[in-house]
Order: sequence, then C-alpha cells, then structure tokens
Amino acid sequence: MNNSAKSSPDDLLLDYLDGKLEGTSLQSLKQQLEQSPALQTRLEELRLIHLHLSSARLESPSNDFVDRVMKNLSASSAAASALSPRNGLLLIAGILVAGGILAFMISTGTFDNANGVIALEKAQPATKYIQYTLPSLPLKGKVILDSILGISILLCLVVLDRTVLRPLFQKKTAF
Amino acid sequence: MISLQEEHALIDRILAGDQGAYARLVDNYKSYAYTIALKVLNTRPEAEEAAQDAFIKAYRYLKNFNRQARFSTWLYRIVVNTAISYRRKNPHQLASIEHHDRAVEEGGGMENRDRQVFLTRAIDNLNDADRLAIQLYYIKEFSLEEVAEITGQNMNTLKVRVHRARQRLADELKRLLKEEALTL
Repeated sequence: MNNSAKSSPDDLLLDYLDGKLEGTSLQSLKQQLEQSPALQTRLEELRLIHLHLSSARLESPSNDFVDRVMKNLSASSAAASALSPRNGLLLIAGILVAGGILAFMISTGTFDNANGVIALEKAQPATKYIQYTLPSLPLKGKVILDSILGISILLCLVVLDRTVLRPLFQKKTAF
Repeated sequence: MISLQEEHALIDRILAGDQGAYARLVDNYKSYAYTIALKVLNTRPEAEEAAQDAFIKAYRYLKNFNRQARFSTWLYRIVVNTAISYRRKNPHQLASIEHHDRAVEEGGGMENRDRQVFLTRAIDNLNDADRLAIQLYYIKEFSLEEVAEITGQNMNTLKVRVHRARQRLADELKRLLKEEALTL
C-alpha cells in the first residue's frame, strides 16, 4: 500500500490513518479531502474503525498461569521421558518379531498337543476349608498362546499411538 | 521485558536442562500469548488452556527453534496454531459474548456504546483469517511482517486482508449510521 497514484481512495485513506502517507501523496490527499465531502465522510468512517481497533488492550491471564504451565510441563516431561519414539519403535519391532515367531509356531501345530488340566481338587489348603470338591480346569496351550498373540498386537497399537503417532500429530499441529 | 541476549541465554539454560529458566520466558510472554489465543477463541477459559498448551509445545520443540527468528514470533505462531486447533474442536461457541460485555464496560454515551457493541459484532462476523489478521495488526508492537510470520501468511495477502477487513467494517458502520439517521 504505497503512495501509488493507482491506489483506491480507501487505500489512501487507510495509509493516511496508519501514518504511512508522506510528501506529495499526503498533500494531494489533503487537497482531495478539502474538495470532497464524500471522501471526508469515508475518512470519518474509517477513522472510527481505526480508533475502535486501536483501543484493543493486552489481556492478562490468571495469576497462577506461570505456575500451572510449569506444573503441566513437569507432568508432561515425566510422561514424555517414559518412552521415546525410537524406543517405542524398537519395542514394537521386538513384540512383532516375538509375535511372528509365536504365530509361526502355532500355525505349524507346535502347541497342538500342549494341553493339560489344573486339578484344583488336589489343592490341600482349599479342601481343608471347603466341603465340596473343586472341579478340574482344562488347559489348552493353543488358546492361551492365541490370547497372548492378541494382547501383543493390542500392546503394539497402544505403544505406536503413545510414542509415535500422538507426538507426531502434536508436532504437526504446533507449527 | 527481557533483552534478546538475555532471552538467548535463557534458551541455552533451558536446552541444557534447566526447566526452571523457562518460567521466566513464560512470564515474559504470557500476556501476548493469552491475548492472541483470546482473539482466536473468544472465551477466556479456552484461551488460557490453549496458551498453556502452546507454551508446553514450545518447550518441547525448543531445540528446533531457529535463532534467526525472534522467539516471540515463533511462540506466537504456535499459539495461533494451537488456538485454531482448539477452535476446530469446538466450533459452536458463543463467540462474541465476552467482547460484547467488554464493549459495554468501556463506557461512553449510550450511542457510543451501541456503536462499540455493533462494531465488536461486525468484527466477529468477519471470516476467521481476516479477523485474526486485523486484530493482530492492531495489537501494538506487531508489525505487518510479524503478523504475516505469526499467521503463516504471505505479506501481500496479509495487507489485503487487513485493508479488506477495515473496508468491510467501515461499510457496516456506514450502514448503521444510515439506519440511525433514518430512525431520528
């Protein structure tokens, strides 16, 4: 918005209010203002806007603002130091390798015969106080290992979210 | 206010692990950060939360801060982006209530107060980018270049926004004055 002769009247008036007009441009505008009541009215409208906006004051946050930032900072630093993105990725890789080996072993039938029974009726302290006999619980190795595999995948997703995705998203939204 | 040298010394201390030194920076810039967040969000509790969040983000990414730029400009940009993301999460807030109250508090004659309230509403009705540009431009100490950096906009685009917003407001005011004249 320089003192160009091609500027619109509004541009010139706004530059004038911003104190950016000088020399011949300023003189020329003053002459135009003297001759044009319409231009004077427009200047008055723009001046009211300028004054209203200029009256904006700096706002103050709450008195404990700094303390709260520092407190939150300590809390977030403690959480951030728990696991870095690099360590998070290494942990995920470790879990995936272990899970892959486990899945391979399950698929080849290694654990098909790994069944057993938990014989609760043989537990002496229990029978001492409880009158009726406890049932035996069947133990299927394949089911347990499938559960472990499921938990590992879930754990991978949680670690990925906490250590990689969330910090990455926060970084993107910050800048 | 702290000098540029002092500021760099504080940043060095913070990067060396002295978290306590950050309190000085927060104290120095809290009012500007809060005011900027308030301009975007228009509600005090949310603006306070966004400003705090921005300070925590700035601390976390301080090692990425390029000292060729001013820390304040870098920080305010984080404040703007954080506040905008807060606004996206909660777009249906009653934006103008607090500013409206302030305009009423500011006093003056009834006619003047009505005009202040009207102008505050007219500012709220501007689009987000124009409103932020014009409000930051009128926070003293911010040059057009700084506002451009803070909002991440091109200088020329920003100039256009500031001029256009003022023209729109003046047109709105003209309409109001015409209506006032007709009711007399």
